[in-house]
Amino acid sequence: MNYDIPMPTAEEKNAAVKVILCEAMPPKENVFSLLRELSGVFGLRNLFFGIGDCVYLTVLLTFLLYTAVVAMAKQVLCSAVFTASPFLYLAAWLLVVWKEEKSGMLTLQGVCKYTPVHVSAIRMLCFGGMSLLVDIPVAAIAGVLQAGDFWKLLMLSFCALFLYAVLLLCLLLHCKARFAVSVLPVVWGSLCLLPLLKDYVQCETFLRNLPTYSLVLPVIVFAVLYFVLLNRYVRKEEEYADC
Amino acid sequence: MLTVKNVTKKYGSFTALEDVNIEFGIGVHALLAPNGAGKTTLMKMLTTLMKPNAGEILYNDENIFLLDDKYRDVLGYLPQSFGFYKGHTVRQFLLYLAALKGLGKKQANEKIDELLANVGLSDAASLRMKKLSGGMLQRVGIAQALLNDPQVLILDEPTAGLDPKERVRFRNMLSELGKTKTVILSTHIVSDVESIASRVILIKNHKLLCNETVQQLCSQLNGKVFERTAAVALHDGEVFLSERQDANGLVNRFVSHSVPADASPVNAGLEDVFLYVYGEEIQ
Repeated sequence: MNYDIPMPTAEEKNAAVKVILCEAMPPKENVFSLLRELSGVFGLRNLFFGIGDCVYLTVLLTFLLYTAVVAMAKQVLCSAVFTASPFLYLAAWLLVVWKEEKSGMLTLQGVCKYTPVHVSAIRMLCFGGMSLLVDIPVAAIAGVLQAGDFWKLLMLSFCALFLYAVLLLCLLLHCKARFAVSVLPVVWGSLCLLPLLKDYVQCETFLRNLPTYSLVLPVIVFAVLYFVLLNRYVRKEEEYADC
Repeated sequence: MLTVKNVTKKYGSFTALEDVNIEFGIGVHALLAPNGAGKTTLMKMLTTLMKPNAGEILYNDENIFLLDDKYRDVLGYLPQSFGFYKGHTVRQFLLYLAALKGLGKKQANEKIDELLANVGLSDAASLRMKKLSGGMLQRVGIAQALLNDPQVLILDEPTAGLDPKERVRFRNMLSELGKTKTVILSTHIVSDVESIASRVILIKNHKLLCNETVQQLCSQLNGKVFERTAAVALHDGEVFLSERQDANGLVNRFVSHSVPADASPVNAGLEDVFLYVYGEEIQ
């Protein structure tokens, strides 16, 4: 009896394994599974590919803004911390989206397995994490220099950051990225600065008198909402044809 | 098998493509039409960059927009023009796109070496993208489209900017790829497709005009293409195609449904078909 069974080549085997994995693996259900999957092939270098200058500029601008807030905002410390807290997130997004649109890379990225939406979602987590890390020393230094309550300042800044991130995701889910990232800073600036210009004493008094524990709930709500919306954003179908 | 089923695409009130039906199997499929006919729109829909207003596009009987990353995993695309970060090298650029396509670093490096050799850019791997000539950029574009060893390869005007030698090398590469993959290329350079396309798709007035082999298309004009000295004006019913210079002066090439006594018949080529179909639009 002839047992000479033709065996597949290594290439055929790899192709078959790829097909089986592709069919059998559960779909990318949330941002964390995407993060896990991407970290295997992507790495930090690729995550920030081409946008290193944007990150550098953002960090520089954030440092300057926070220095000004910490050094000069004694009268309006709480309001200033609330208004300025999302700055790193805001500036990073504005610069990155501007650069990506200008580079014309979106058409090529849009036909890859991992689209710009996937990469953006992971970058959001990174920028969010960076913002949280920056907000902690800012609150600590402001607390020491301007005799503010560290925990109050920290909760205010987390609250502002998550609120901004949630608003940005809401916009990103319904409009083009370039519209979302350019409109929201204007809206945020207006909403925060107008009450301050009108009656900064009342605004500051209101924020200072808020019990710290009352800020914990909004922080948790906005943080949960942020991850819910981020998961929805990962599954967004975007058209890149006009980029 | 990639199937375009009753696809219509509109931009506002302008219809770019209307009720298009095409089946793309293994082989090289050439989309041949003048600029503005809807080739790029069709390509963008085939690559999921744009959704049709009506109809669907299926890959092995599944909607490509539902297949999502599973479809993009088997897709390679070279757009008409593409952007890049100017400060990065060719290898960095390709490594980044390889990562986006899900390739590990080792596998990506091996594939990049192989592809750069195929497109004749092995020595340019460490050159910055901004230093590349138009032809070299186009070859990098071709290399990136092949990074994930795609089953469906879509190329929009791939030979633009290539010199004649590069074009021949590229044609040979496409011909080889077409033996095992679905290759779809859009072009208005007839000579690029005449020798390698298994099927030629003509789009006119935003609708599919025909989807046939080169031989089938040319056979429709067989016995109807003639040449005559340009000193004699075209007679009624004769459709001008082109003119060329020979030893005796200018010669007109034209289509006539009757046999003119003062002209010599010539074999019809794909360029004659193209000029006959799109003559008015080109002029």
